[in-house]
Amino acid sequence: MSFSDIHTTEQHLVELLRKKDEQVLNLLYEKYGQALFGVIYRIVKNKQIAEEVLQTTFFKIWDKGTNYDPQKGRLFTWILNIARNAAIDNTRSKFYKEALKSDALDIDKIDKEINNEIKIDLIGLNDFTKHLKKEQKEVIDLIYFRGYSHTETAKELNMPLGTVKSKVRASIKLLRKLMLSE
Amino acid sequence: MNVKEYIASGILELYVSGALSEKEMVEVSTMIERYPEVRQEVEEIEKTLLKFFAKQTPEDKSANLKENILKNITADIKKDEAKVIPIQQTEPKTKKRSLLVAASIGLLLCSLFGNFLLYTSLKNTQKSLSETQKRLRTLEFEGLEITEKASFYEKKYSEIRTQFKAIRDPQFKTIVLSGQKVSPNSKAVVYWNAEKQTVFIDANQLPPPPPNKAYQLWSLKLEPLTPKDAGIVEGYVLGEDNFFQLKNVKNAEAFAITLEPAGGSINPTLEQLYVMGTL
Repeated sequence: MSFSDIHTTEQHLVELLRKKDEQVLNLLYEKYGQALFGVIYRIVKNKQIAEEVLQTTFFKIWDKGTNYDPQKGRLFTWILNIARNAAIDNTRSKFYKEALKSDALDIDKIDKEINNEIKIDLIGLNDFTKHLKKEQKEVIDLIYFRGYSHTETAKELNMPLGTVKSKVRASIKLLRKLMLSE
Repeated sequence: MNVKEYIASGILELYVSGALSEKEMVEVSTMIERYPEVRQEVEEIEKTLLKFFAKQTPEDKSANLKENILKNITADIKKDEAKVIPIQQTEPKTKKRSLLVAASIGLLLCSLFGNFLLYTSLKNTQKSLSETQKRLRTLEFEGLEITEKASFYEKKYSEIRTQFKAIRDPQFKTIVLSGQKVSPNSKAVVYWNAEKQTVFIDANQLPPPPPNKAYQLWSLKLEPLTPKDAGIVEGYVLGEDNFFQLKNVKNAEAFAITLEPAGGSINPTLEQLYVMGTL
């Protein structure tokens, strides 16, 4: 697929979303479904809950589709935000802890992980993230999985804004290279 | 900054995650419109992330996940469209015709009446159930909206806190710039940390700049009088805080603000000197 194809597809998707055309759901799932499920799963850490959150995410995309404003960012960014918020929201709810309990998981351990300020292990499970340095992982975690702004990230990790930018750039560059070699 | 440097700065990686302020997001969108190479880079980043995120899924994920999700949503949309839930009519039992006519009519009437009562109560229950479901969905969405708002204010608060924290540094000097001939009632305050060279400006007591004009801050050395550009006040909005961080300043004996064409000037237009103040 060429770049211009991606572009037309995105415009096409936005149009269908505005018109509330039901076929957009299938197209959106094809394009973003896997990735969204991945993000949500990394946040909620439970398959069943992740599936429910993905469902909520798609409900919201459909419901709020007419609000999307391309000037404020990519369609992907907008959707990613919805998924992250829904997932993070879920981890804060009582229901989440109940659900984990009924799944007989180690609730204390998960609780600790949720409360942990920086969850480096959040993305540590994948083979190719082992190539990232600790600080790169932290930056990726905060920005992409926890939806931190660049200023919040700078504050959290106690580094200058410029450093945050260059670290996130370097990490994505590395990931890109690793993906290509897959 | 040229396009290459812009791409290399890391701002696009932040853009794709939505990690910038709303104003910066719009700025990057404009750059994407203008420069195909910026668009291409953004699309590359997005592709990388899509792949990276997809790798995070559990290996044993449910079969038919997609089908189930789409089915549920479609069902929900249908439910929203149908104002009234169709109800299956129960057929009155009218077949007991071997009994006496009067008795059968009596029974029939009773049965019809009973059915009518049951039917009405069923209809009411279903109606209230669908209303409750609808209400529940609205509440769920409202809840999500509130969470979104809260995270917006959280972001805003942290930005303001960062600025506040910066100017609380005791090394900061406060320089009050007072109104000059063009605008005697204007005023502005410069906060300057000579050590770290950081400069903030409170532009709230300047009149709103006319269209296509912008305020520009100058740091001045007095003998001989040498002005140096200290940044343009961009994003002035009447009624907002109008508190900005501008360019770093190393040496200054005074500060001044002039009104310049949008985008700023190399040298100050002295006829448009609004405010000035010395250290």
